[in-house]
Amino acid sequence: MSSHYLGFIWYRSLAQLRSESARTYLGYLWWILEPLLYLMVFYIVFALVLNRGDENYVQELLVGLVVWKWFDSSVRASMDVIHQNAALIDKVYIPKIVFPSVSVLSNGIKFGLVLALLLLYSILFGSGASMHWLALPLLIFMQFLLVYSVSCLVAAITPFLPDIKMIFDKLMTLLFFLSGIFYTAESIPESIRGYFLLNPAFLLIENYRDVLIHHQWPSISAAAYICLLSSIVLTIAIIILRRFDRIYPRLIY
Amino acid sequence: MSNALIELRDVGVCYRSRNLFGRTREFWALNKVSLTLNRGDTLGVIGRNGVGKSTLLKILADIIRPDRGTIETQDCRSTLLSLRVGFLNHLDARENAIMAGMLLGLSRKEIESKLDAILDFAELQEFVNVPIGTYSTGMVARLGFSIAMQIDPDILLIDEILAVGDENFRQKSSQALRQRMQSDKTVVLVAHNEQVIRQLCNQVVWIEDGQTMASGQADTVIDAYNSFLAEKQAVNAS
Repeated sequence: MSSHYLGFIWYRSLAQLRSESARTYLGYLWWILEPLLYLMVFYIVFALVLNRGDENYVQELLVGLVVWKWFDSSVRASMDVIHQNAALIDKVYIPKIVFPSVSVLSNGIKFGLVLALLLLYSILFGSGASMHWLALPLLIFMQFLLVYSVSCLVAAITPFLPDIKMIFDKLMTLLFFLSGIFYTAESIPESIRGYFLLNPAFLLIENYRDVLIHHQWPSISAAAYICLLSSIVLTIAIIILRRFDRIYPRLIY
Repeated sequence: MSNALIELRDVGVCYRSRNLFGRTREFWALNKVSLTLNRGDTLGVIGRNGVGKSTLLKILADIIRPDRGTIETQDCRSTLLSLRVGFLNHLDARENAIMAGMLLGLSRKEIESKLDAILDFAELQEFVNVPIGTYSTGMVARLGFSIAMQIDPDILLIDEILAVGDENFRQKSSQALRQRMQSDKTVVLVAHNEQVIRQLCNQVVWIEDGQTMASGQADTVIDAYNSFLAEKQAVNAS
């Protein structure tokens, strides 16, 4: 992809965020309010109603939710993104990978803000900062690869099979429950824990907790696994998107 | 080397629709179209509704690729004139113009330097800071047209948009387009207005049922098309 389109992705992502906030009365305030409400819902259910966990539980829950949110919102937005831009695709040539890229970037910007709040929370009310936080850029990069690869893949496939959106939607819900967001690895029975460790989202969240809460370095093998798996998925997605770049306009009308 | 910018030979485009049981219905929007577009030409495309003229423009704009036939192009950028490329309703004219300009191939710097010219031509300077969602249809069209006029593609493709806006702006926009076509710009024009085609185009292609029926000098092709239409009408009447 040429640098011209990279510039466009950046401008379009910011424009989309501005456009979103212009639609509401509170505008940019929602960037903070929305995730706060989202976190509050889970806090009420799991920490207050179910009264789960030890002293670290709230922080563990927050880390899980914040990390999950970038993945969830980007992938869900990417499912329909080529179709939503049908009018544009029909009028001018544009590499189709631009569209999931915009979804990932605009949601990534929101994630950055929420992550900053999470760090602030950890310092003020949680387990505090440590030098292990230096590993954060690596974690963010791994997360970006994972989010981007899956987003591109669903964006590439759904125009061919619009019905599959329903399946993807339910798979995302399933993945939400399987990714250890409101529980940790220790609470999974040992006999089945191995299966959970195959899920890159699960590994990613566990690694974030290690770094942010438990003051440990991330696991190199987990990082390698996530990067390798994401790279394979991303390569497949890019091959599909390029191969059918000039077919997509004919699938959607 | 000829000075052909684009040469299509026996180009066909097939739309397939599949139903639940995997039965495929094929529809050839274009079947066998050949044409040559030379530098500086103003090429008119005529034909009845639904014979594939817009599909042809999409091929020329490199939005889709044909299923058969060959295309030879020189390195050139062709752009379809359209009135709202990627507009977001909640943003203002400036932001939308920058986005559209980038989509149409300009760098952000280039389009920013042309913003004033765009807003002046569109006569929207006093509405710059309001979201375009509050614009009337005509105002959006004026903005889109003015952006398109600042993009200078090697080949301009026009699908029946010959003028936009109110009477005043129609004259202005029509004049701007005519200037383009009469200069040495390369233009492909789909239109139903025979007078316009005769006036502006030096070459005409007539497409019927996805096939090239005739191409060449404007007057010759249009006369052939007219006698074909008259014949059809006579058959229908009897």
